[in-house]
Amino acid sequence: MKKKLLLVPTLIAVAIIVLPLISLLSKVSWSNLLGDISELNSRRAIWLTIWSSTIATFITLILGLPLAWHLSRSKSKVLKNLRVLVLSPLVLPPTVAGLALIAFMGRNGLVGSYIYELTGWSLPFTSWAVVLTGVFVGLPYMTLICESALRQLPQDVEDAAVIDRVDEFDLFRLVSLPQIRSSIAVGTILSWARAVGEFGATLMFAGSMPGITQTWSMAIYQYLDLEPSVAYSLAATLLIVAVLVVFSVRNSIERAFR
Amino acid sequence: MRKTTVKVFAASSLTAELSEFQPIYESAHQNTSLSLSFGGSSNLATQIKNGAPADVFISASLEDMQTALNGRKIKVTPYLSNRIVLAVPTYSKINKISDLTSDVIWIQCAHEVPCGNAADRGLAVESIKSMPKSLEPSVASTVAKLLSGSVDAAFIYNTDVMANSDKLRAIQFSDPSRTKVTYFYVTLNISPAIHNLSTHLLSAPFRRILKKAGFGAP
Repeated sequence: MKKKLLLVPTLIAVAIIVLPLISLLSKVSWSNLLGDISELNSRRAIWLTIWSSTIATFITLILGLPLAWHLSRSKSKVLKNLRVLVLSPLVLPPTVAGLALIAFMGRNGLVGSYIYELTGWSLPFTSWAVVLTGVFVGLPYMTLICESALRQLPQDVEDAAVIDRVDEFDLFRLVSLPQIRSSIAVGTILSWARAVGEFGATLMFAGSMPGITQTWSMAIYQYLDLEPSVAYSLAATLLIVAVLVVFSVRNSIERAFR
Repeated sequence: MRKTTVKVFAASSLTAELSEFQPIYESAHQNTSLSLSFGGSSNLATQIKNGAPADVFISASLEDMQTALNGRKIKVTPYLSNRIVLAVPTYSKINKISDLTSDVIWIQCAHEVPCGNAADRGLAVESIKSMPKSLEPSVASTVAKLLSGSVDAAFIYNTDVMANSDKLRAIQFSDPSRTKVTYFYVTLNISPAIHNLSTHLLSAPFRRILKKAGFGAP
């Protein structure tokens, strides 16, 4: 009897996650799937999403790993408070994230207004706005996962390296990073997935223009009004890609969370 | 006596007027309370088709109305009209639609939503050589980008301009009839409370309020 106390919530939890996904797949007309996703606007949206999220993730890696490293080694109060700030995009609703990015890089934005005055160029409504949004929402995942892994590294390896007079950059590059490979892989995949799935903030900040700023998830939303079957095909493809990506790093996930 | 709740689903362009009407109506009719739900017409229509409990539906397109009715034979009343205009900030140097050159950042709704469809009809006979920077999924996100200063100009409803007349001004199409959008009214259930509400919403005094907000006759 007591065994069931744990089993029933477990089954309900699995059902809440799996049943909507199966229901989504059941609505897809599979014979039209290839035709639906090769329509011009579908292809453009998929391609834009893949390359912009990949660039965003690359930037996230370059910026996020050093940040995670510094946070993991900090004992100062300033850095502790910085961590809370860095992680805040995790809990921000997309509308707030979108407004913040407009206030930052919009034509009248804190930084964007200077760029606009000097060059006449502004970031919103360009593909780079999609990339920046991806970095903004992805960085916290990379930082959170890698910082926690760096903190758990055994101190004696680092001490030995310090005795051998390894400088800080090499300590980071040659000693710390190789030990958290799995966490970096998981952080990369999660940041990438977060960028791929981003919708609200991108719409507010970058707009929705096929081929330039209309992402995969925006195309799904747009097609719901026009041709629902294409929306379902695009959604199912996104789901399949997401599952495949997670599946491809399943070993890393196991190691990272051990 | 028990209170009856009447559920009204209405196109989001009616938000201001119906929200103002609600407390006035409720204080005059102590037994009735109104529940207002606003959204894009196509969105609301899908909700109703899927069983959302609407008593009254005001749609900005006939097609969405038919989606909501899903084959039910109910009398649909042409209710109001609105039109798409080019909206610019009051201080803007843009004065006619052909001023939309390639260095102007302008946006419109996506082709498949009513506000975008109407803008397309108007633009088809104007001669402009630039492209929109974004095809927005709703008029709400279009207006928001204009009000936040992200864009120089946007094709939105005349009533949106009237509601922000301190910040925006409207530039008409050379043939305004091309961008007309007609709203339709339907009662989906029958009760004395619903009947009474409909009588008020369709009455001349309330239509005068709507006219002041920039709506026209159907």
